[in-house]
Amino acid sequence: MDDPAVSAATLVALPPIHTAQPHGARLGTRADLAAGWAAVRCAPGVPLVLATFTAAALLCSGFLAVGLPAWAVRAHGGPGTPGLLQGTAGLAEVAGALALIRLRLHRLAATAIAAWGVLGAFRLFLGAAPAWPPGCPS
Amino acid sequence: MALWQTGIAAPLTLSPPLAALIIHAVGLTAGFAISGTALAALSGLSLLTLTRRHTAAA
Repeated sequence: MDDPAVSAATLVALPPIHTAQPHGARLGTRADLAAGWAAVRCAPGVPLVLATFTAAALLCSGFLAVGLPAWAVRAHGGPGTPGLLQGTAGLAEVAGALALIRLRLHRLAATAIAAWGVLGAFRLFLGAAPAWPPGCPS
Repeated sequence: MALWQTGIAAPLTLSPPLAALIIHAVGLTAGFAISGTALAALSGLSLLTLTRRHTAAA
């Protein structure tokens, strides 16, 4: 997930970009939102993908932020345990992104939506496992 | 970009308290199971809608 500090540091480090502004173009957050909404409505499937991402982020991200530390506490792990879990997730994201750019995906919207289903299946397996190996928190 | 950031910022803010509420109510393991079920159901529903739209447009 996004880290605001990293995002802010990246934006500060970027050199200023001078772009040609069309005459009469409106600037500002509201105009940007309106332009974005108009562009999204013109592209079939994009509103559905955005709505799915929004709902999936609501259902998914909090469990990483809250569930992993709770899991680490239950496993009697030290402060490094949540860090190790989060770091593993980050490495998996990088590996997945590197693998995906080598694939030629034709149905991007369906693939992006199906990826949430794969994540949900793994999480369901994690939560529905009847018994954990010795040493794991249940 | 503003639309995207707005759409993502709200769930990222609301998700941790929601997850804490669910975990507190049903427990950690069942909470992950609920989250996984909801994600899988959401993905399936969205895929079904997308397929129907493609079929209708074709």
